[in-house]
Amino acid sequence: MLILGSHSVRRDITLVIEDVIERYTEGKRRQTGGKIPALQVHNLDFYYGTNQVLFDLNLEVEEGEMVALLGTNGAGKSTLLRAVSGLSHPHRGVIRLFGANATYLEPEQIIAEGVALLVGGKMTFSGLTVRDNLRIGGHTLRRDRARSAQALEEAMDAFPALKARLDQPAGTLSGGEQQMLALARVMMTRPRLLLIDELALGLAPMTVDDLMAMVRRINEEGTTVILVEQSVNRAISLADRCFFLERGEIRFDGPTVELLARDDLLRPVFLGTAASGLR
Amino acid sequence: MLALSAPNFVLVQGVIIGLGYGLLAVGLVLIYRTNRVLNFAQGQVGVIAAVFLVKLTADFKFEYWFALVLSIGLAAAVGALSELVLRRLFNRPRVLVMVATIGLSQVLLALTALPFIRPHNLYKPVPVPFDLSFTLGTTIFSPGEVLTLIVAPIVAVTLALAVRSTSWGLNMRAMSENADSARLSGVWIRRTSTLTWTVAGALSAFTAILNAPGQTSALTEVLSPDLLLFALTAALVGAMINLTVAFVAGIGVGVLYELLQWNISSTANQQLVLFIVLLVVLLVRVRALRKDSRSAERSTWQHGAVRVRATVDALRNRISVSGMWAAACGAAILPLLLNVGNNYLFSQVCIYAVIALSLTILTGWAGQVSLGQFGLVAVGAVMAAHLGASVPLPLLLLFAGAVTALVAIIVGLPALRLPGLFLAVTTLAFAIFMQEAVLATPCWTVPGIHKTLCTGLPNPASTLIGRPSLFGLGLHSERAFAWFSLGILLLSILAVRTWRDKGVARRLIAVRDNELGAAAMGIPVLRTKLLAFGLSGFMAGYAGVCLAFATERFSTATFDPTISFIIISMVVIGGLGSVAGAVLGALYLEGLPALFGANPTIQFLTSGLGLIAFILYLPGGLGELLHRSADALTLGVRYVQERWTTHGPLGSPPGAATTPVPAVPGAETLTPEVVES
Repeated sequence: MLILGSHSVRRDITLVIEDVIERYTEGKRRQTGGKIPALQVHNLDFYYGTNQVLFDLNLEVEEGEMVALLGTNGAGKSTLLRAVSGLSHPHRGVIRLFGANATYLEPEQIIAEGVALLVGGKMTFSGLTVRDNLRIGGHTLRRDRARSAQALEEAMDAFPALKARLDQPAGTLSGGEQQMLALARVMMTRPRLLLIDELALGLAPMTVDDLMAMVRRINEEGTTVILVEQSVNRAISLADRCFFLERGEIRFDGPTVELLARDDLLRPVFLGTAASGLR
Repeated sequence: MLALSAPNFVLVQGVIIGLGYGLLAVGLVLIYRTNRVLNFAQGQVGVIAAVFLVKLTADFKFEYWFALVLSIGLAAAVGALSELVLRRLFNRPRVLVMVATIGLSQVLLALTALPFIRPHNLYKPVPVPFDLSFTLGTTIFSPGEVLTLIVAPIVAVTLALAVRSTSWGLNMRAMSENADSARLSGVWIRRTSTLTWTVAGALSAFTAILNAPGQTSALTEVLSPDLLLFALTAALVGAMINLTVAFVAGIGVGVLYELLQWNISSTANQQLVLFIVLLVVLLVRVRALRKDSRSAERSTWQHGAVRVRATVDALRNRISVSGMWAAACGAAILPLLLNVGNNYLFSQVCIYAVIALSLTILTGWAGQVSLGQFGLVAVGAVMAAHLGASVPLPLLLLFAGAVTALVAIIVGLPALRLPGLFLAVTTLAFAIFMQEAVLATPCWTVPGIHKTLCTGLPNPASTLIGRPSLFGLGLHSERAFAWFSLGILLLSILAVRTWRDKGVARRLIAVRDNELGAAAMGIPVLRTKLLAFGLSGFMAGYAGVCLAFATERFSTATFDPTISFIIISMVVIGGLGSVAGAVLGALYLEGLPALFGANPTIQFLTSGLGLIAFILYLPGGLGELLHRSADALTLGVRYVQERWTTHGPLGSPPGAATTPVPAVPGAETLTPEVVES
């Protein structure tokens, strides 16, 4: 009992010290004229139960960037996005959103910070009508009726396909339309940072291209986008910069084009086909 | 086909009763939809409000409307408070939360007896704000009934509108579909959940206040099995989702009940028709419901047993086996030391443990919730009453087991198509049907064949049967019977453990957790489910025979359907799916109160509050406690063994050990694995 207790006390003290150091270096960096990035992740450890998924993860994403997050299945990409959006909390490390510490915020608070997560294929409320889905999307604007009505209008203008089906249950839409609905819903709050987990999941290539064009437009309008992708090809066409995750560690951080040269990373993932096919 | 007709006033009477069922059903649906919790305390929350209303108007002379607002506010607050207490359980197995709400309901019942809630005059009627009444046919409808006719629809419509168009309603609907997604849009799901329970509390207050004027004393336990059955049926007709359908179905059930009362003279036949109609309605609805697969419900309800992580090695096994032997030997000696009364209690605990084991198979492994296990026990008891004198005991046990297994399979048939709450409702209906129709009717004539069958208790008010002898040994003394019950329990444990280790349990759990996956691996899903019902029914059946012989004199009241709730509590307290846990649960809930009934600590521990505290802080149950202590003991023994090998026998200096001591037996086979026990 005593030994177990002392272990956890020691761990807590270490965490506090690490936190202080992180805050100090961050302050120092800003004093010396460092920019404030959209997302900073410092020394992140993440466990599911006793299973460690992320190992001492560090990454930074500048404001206005479009970044791809690549990696094998089970590399921890989705977990990272879950941690950033507040759905799960890490065991160690710091997550900063636009400079402010957001490590232990709940998702309900994170969305108010202007950070939205879109999970492919899992976002719509299939029993609710399209209109109700969008109303949920405008939940954070509910105090400002004029603005929430305006957001609804804008969403419908941006996604005309949805306009005709406002009173239909979202479950009756096609997969692409549902994804579009999810995107529309997420965009209603005008997030400054958009996290997308597998936009293309289970969709036809044509639909994916349409959606990707929308994401690109969103990025051009100034929203920072982090995109989890399975396909290197799409990552190249969309993002200039990418991270490559393997077993919970970042193995590559740089221009997407350079990743193609890293056969050692890509071969085990894509059995060489994708990488060699591209060159 | 049965022709039902009745004058208008009977129909109106039915509508009035049905409005109550409808409101209750709506409350159940509201909470089930939000948290996937079947709230047994839904009715009891409102009773507090009704009692408080009497207190305020009669004792404090408050204005009616002011008092009404205060009492509804109280119920709403109690509802919110319940949510805050139970919140930490919401991602636990559903059965666990359900049992916690049974405990909550008992606590709320105790709350109504508090001095600042309880009125001085308990028999004071709940006041009614106006003096309107009307006559239809020969019946005068009282102001209370008029109030129900006016207020209940208003409440229901208001709620429907609120769910459809308010921000809370939208959030609630979104949350029940996809909680994570709702959170990502900024919906505070915990607040939404608390708000839902608050609304449900207020709704419950309306239900109780509207129903109360007809009752002689307000201080009753409301959620009687009958009421629960009707409300649950209505809620299920609404698929536990649709509030409007549930409300209308509640009215339908009320009208049906009154129609049957008017048209059929014997209670038994009324119950029979009601039971059949409910089954048919549910079966028809199952078809309609299967379209939307309701995968969420499936996953949450079937998410059953607690997984105990234990390192299995030879030493650990040896310790648990020797622990079992020690417990068995201790139990075998115990009847010698106990007096007659305690030996009787000993047999009771053993038999209840067998019943709990039967439910462990069904609920712990197969993930099917049965609210009427005691109905199956009653089947066994009836067999004992009829055949006890003529058939030798071992044969009777087997025969009763087989017949009950058959009955269990038939009752379980509707649940084959859709799991979860459906079996809960059909079994509950069956338990009520058993008590009120089958047991209460000594003999009945089969309609088509005109033959008389005697399936009920020979004398429903008090049946006396003599204990038989086993292989020439008389079981007449309490001590002998205690040994007999212990023997039955040990055999049952042996059988269940064998089933657990030989793969029956594995198949049941596989089908519970992933039906499609199990089918893909070649497990016959249908047969496996039937097997669960059959095995469970078999055990409940012979336990029923034993229970009948143990009590010797029994009546229909012995087989009260509420005892089934206690048995579920036993299984949960013991640790869902744990064999040893089921026995410990029976000992805890059946043995402790009878043995130390006067001790306030024991009273607290086995009361509703104790039940909740238990589930909140030891969700793995007594079984987990047992596992942990066995783990600790293993560590201790291993430590001593290692010291022994390095330092030799106690006291000798290091290096003095001359003979090389063999390594710890089985140490090389240390394979950690997760076992489900």
